[in-house]
Parts: sequence; structure tokens; C-alpha cells
Amino acid sequence: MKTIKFINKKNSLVLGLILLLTVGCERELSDDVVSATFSNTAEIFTDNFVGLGSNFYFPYSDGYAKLDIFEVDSEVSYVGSSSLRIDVPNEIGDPGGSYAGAFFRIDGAGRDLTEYNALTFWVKSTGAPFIQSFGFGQSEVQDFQTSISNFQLSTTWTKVVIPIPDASRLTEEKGMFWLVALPDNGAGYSFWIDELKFEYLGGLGQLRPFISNGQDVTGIGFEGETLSIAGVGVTANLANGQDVSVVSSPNFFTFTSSNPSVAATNVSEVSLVGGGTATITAQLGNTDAAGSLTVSSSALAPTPPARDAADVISIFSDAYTNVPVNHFNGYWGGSTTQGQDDININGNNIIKFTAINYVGTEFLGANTIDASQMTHFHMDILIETPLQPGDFLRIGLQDLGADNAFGGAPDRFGAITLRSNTTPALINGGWVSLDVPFSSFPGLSTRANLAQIVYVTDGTVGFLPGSITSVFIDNIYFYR
Amino acid sequence: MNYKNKISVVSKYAFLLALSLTVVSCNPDEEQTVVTFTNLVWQDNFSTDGAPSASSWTYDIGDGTAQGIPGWGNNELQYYTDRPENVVVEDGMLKITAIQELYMGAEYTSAKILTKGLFEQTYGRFEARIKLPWGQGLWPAFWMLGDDSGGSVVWPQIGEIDIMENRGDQPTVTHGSVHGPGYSGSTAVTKSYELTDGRFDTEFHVFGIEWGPNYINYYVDDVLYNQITPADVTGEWVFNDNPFYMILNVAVGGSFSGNPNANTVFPQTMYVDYVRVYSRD
Repeated sequence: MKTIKFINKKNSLVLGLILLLTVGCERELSDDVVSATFSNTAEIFTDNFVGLGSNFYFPYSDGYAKLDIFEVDSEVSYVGSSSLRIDVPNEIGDPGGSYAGAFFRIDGAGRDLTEYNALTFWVKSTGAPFIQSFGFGQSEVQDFQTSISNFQLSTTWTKVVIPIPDASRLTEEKGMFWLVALPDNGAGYSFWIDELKFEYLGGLGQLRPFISNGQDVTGIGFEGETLSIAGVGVTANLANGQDVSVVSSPNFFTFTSSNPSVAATNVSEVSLVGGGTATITAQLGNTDAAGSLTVSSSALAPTPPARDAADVISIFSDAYTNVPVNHFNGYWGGSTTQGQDDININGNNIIKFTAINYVGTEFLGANTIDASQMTHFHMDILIETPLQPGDFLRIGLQDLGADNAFGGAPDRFGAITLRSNTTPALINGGWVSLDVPFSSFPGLSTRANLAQIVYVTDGTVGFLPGSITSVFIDNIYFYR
Repeated sequence: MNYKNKISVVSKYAFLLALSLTVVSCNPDEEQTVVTFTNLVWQDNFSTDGAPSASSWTYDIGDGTAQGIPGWGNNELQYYTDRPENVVVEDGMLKITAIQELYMGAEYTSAKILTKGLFEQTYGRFEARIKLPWGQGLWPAFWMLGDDSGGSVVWPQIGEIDIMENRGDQPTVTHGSVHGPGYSGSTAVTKSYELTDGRFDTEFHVFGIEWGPNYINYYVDDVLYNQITPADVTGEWVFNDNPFYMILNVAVGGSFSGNPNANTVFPQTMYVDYVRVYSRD
């Protein structure tokens, strides 16, 4: 299971537009202001692509997405003479890739979508797979990215409705359509899309915006951090009375802070600017969003002491030169863990794992680490979620032995398990610095070919008690 | 003037219109004759803030137990009150609000107001401009009951004309019905009307009937969608002499709408912009 991740690039031009629109709600614009107008064409695909230009198709470049996934199919159509067929590969065995993921964007000026309230299309499939995402608002930027998730297809034509959270923001949108479709239990399939277009549906109503998935959640941030507010979107009601929810970019929303000296807001941006606690709420237009985020400022992890380069092998720190790492989150099968090295506070990088059950950081092949001359393992850990009795965090080191390969006799593994009553003890909301001699990792009798750091918690595994679901990690290194 | 012939022509036309609504609505030359009664005799535009005008409206209070019909005969869950939380005139509208709260042993409160004993009329055009509440288990209604002659005549003999009933989980559908002896409850004569590109809970719509001897015409906005005559009912036609009074209410749960579920959003408000009555002449 792979997770497709997009960096939400900030775009000063778009921020400027947002400010302009906000002002426009307060008072009338001067007569000198002449709005640029963009095409309001609704159709994206009818019997062929409509008005997208020539260079409009962008399969994801993560190395896993198959590059050629679509065809204009003149054998099948819902209306007219053809449809857009998407072919999802088998998970294993297709040299082209292991899933279908791409966006379709206008090669040219964006469209004015302000008169519509939904992206709609008809779809049918060779089976009944669940599609991870269908959406709009993805191009070189994802300022207004919006999508539905886990939509189950069927073998009969079905209409898909993706509500637009606030169309007044889509004055110049290039991102017409995007999709992420994973194999169905490993097996590929095809589906057909027709009459792909933006519409105003009079039967769509009762938009209920939410942040933090509609829950009141608490979290930890760092002074200087720009917060990413998760679980943002709207639930709308369709003409048939059914609800449909989309997740969207926070850029549709206006955020408000209960304590601007702790968390400052600027329309859709929330930054931690001081110590303390603040509660973030949001509005979509004039509608209050359900849910909130109460965030507490935390200090950054202690800066590691100055050491000679020969005395340290650093995997993740800003104080030392780091060795090559394949990935901090391998997104292993069965792992629910999200996130990796994606927090950067003024040059201070931090790893954050959320929904953690287990996760592995790997340095494989030529990247395996010879720590035989080192004596200790260091790591700084901050548990974001409150601790319950019985909660644990296990940190393991995997050595491959002389063959430098997984499996076989020379593999060695040792782990330490931290709880609220161990030394050092896990605590909630503050950094814990580990300085552990290798001798405390029972079983790790060799360390010349270290390949993995493995983290295991009980947090989201249903059959174990406990609630560690969110962990910050900094300054991972071996030293002597 | 021969109403019956005129109306039956209109009705046939309306049926065709309903079948081909999009085509017809694009053609302004084929406009329907929806209403013919224009002599306004009674109205409430809800322009004075506060409780509904006592000279126009009275209340049913409670859960029906006092009336001998707990759950108002339909397993409804609400307790009706006259509190301003449940019924108030403000912003130029009547607002009837269903609230999820424990009150007098009920899980929900709401309101039901009637013109009983204050304004009753036989025949005429009765209409209201309403924005409906929404969600599974909500059951808003604009309807009429026949005078019971001081209790000597009982439902369904008194007759019931439902101008608008809606299931909150069907935001695009309204139902118009008559109940009478031999055709009441589940055997009432009903027709539903569905908006093709709109909703009843996000915008105001006009719900009305035009009622004369041996016919009741049902309309929504500018669309006549049904006519009920004695030929359509399986019993005595009880709509040719008795005066009827109007009722506005929001029920919660019960046999018509089903009960609310976890997705039902409370509170829910029915907004009534006006109620107007025209005489037959």
C-alpha cells in the first residue's frame, strides 16, 4: 500500500487573489478594477477531451504509477460515441507500474468555475473495485484540491458527484480531474468515464464544512511551524437525500485562532508564533466548520552536542552530516503509519509519524551502516498523544550480517521497549532523549550492516490497549 | 362558467407537462393555467415579530396523549409546544423549529399551529411559500382538516387535504393527498411531485391547492401536478360542504418519515414566508 503525497506549494499570486476576494466581500471594488475573465467551459471529456490543450496528461512520477493508463474508447460510451477508459495494472508483474495515478490539467489558461457546484461524471467498471480518489484542483499546484475517497464502482453506469466546497474561489482553475486507483486485492481492472464536466446541480445542498474530520482534536506544534490542518472538507446532500463528503485543501477555509499570540492566522494559513495553547476553528464562506484543533507549542528537541565527525554516524539530524537513507517510512504492508521527514521549522527538520502502529526507516544495499565502532544509539522522541497505562513504544535495530541481505543465519535484531515506567520513561507532550548503549539491545550481537530502524507501538492496533498514535522524532544517530 | 371542463383540460395538459417538463419549461408559449382564484380573503405574511398572531393561529400542545392519540396517531416522537424556541415569527417569516431535547418525556420538541376556530373555509385557493427542514425523520406539513362539528364527526369522515407533506430524507419530493372515509392513512389518495433541479430545503417554494366542487388541484410553484376528483377516491367525497382549517407543523419520526438517525442534523427549521387564502369567486 503506497500513499501518494503532495506538497502543498504556497503560491503568492493565489494568496493575493484570496485577499482580493475577501476584500470584495466587505465593500464594492473600485470602478477601476477590471476582473480578468477566464473560460467557463464546463466539459472536460465528452467524446474526447474538451479544451485542455495538447500537454494535459500527467501521470504521477513517483516510480510506481503506470504512465499509460488511459485510452479514448470508441467501443463504449454513456452518451455519444466514446468514453475515457482507465486501465489499472495488476499490483505485481506489470513493468509499467503498480497503480493508476494521474492528473489532467489545462495546457493554457485556467477556467472560471464559479457558476458550478460540482464535478460530475458517469462511470462503470469491469468489477466493483473501490477507487481511492477522484477529484479536481490538481495541477502544478494543489491550491484547491478536492476529492472523494473510497468510491466503489459497479458494472453499470453510475453518476459520480464531487461537490465543490466553495466555487467562488475557483476563478482560474487548471486542475480539471485527477484520480488514484489501486489494484483491487492485487488485481487490475478497467473503468470507463464519460460526460466528465462541471455542473450546477440544483439538487445539491446542505453543505456542512468540517476540519479535523469534524472532531475536536488536540495536538502539538513547534514555534515557527506552519500548521497543516488535517481532515478538512465538506459533506453535502445530494438530490436523492444521500450525503457525500469530500476532502479538500484548507485554502477554501478561513481559520480563526482563540489566541493569536500563540497561533496566528492569515486566511487559510495557521502559524505557531509563540508559546502556549490556542484553539483553531474555521469557516467556509459564512458557515462555521465542525471540528477544531487545539494546539500547544512545544520547544524543539535539544541540539546534539558538538562531536568529531569520526565519533558519530548520523541518520537524521541537523547538527551532523547525515548518511544516505532510503526512506523514513517504508509504508510497509499492514502499516497504518503516515508521515515521515516532512516538518521543517526554520531549517530544523523533524519526523512525524501519525496513525502509527509500526513503521520502518531503511538504509539498504550500499546504504547499510557499519556502526561496529560506535557504542551508543541516540534519538529524541516526543509523544503527542496522551499516554495510557500499558502503552509502549518499541524501537528495534536490524542488522543483516556479513551477507548484507535479509534472511539467513547472520541476521540480528535487538529492540528496546519504552513505557511510562521504564528508564528513560515515555512522557506525553515533552521530548525524551535516548542515549542507549548497544548492549541494551538484546540480540543485536553484530552491527556492521545495520539496515533498519523499526518502530512499533500499540496505538492503533485494535487488539492491544493504548493510544500512542502520533510521535515526533528528531536527532537519530549512533555515536561513541 | 363550467369549471369542471376547464379544469379537466388544464389537468390533462398538466399531466403531459409533467411527463416532459424540461421540454415544456423551455417553451414559454405553452404556459400552464395553474390557478384561477384571485380574490384574496385571508393572509398572514408573518411581518410582526413574536408569537404567531393569536387572531389567526392556535396551537396543538403535547404528544397527542391528551387528545387520545399518543404520537399523534402516527408514532411521532415530538412534543409540541408554543415556546418561542419551537415557534416564532421573526425576519418576516414564521419559523417552526424541531429540537432534539428531552422535554416532558419526549426526545424532541416542535410546534403545530392551526387556524381551527379562527379561520375555516369551504373551497378556495390555499397556498404557502415555505422552505422545508431536512434530514431523515423530519416530517414537515402544510395541511387542512374539515370542521368536526364540535366533535360529533371524527376523522377521516371530516376529511383531510394535505397540501404539502415531505419526508426529510427526500429533499426534492413533496406529496399532496386527500384522506376521507374509505381512503385514509395508507390508502389515502396521493401524488408526489419531484423537483428536477432544485430542493425544497434550500430555497422557498409555493405549495398550494385550488379547491372547488368535486375537484382539488395541487400545484408547486407554477406547476399544476395533480387533480383529485370523486372519481379518484374509493369512498364518499367529503369535500363539497364542510369548512376546513389550515395546519402547519414539523413532526419528528413516525410512520410516514421513519425516525431520525445519526446523520440527522438538529435543530431543523421550517420557514414560512406567507400563507394566503383566496375565495372561489
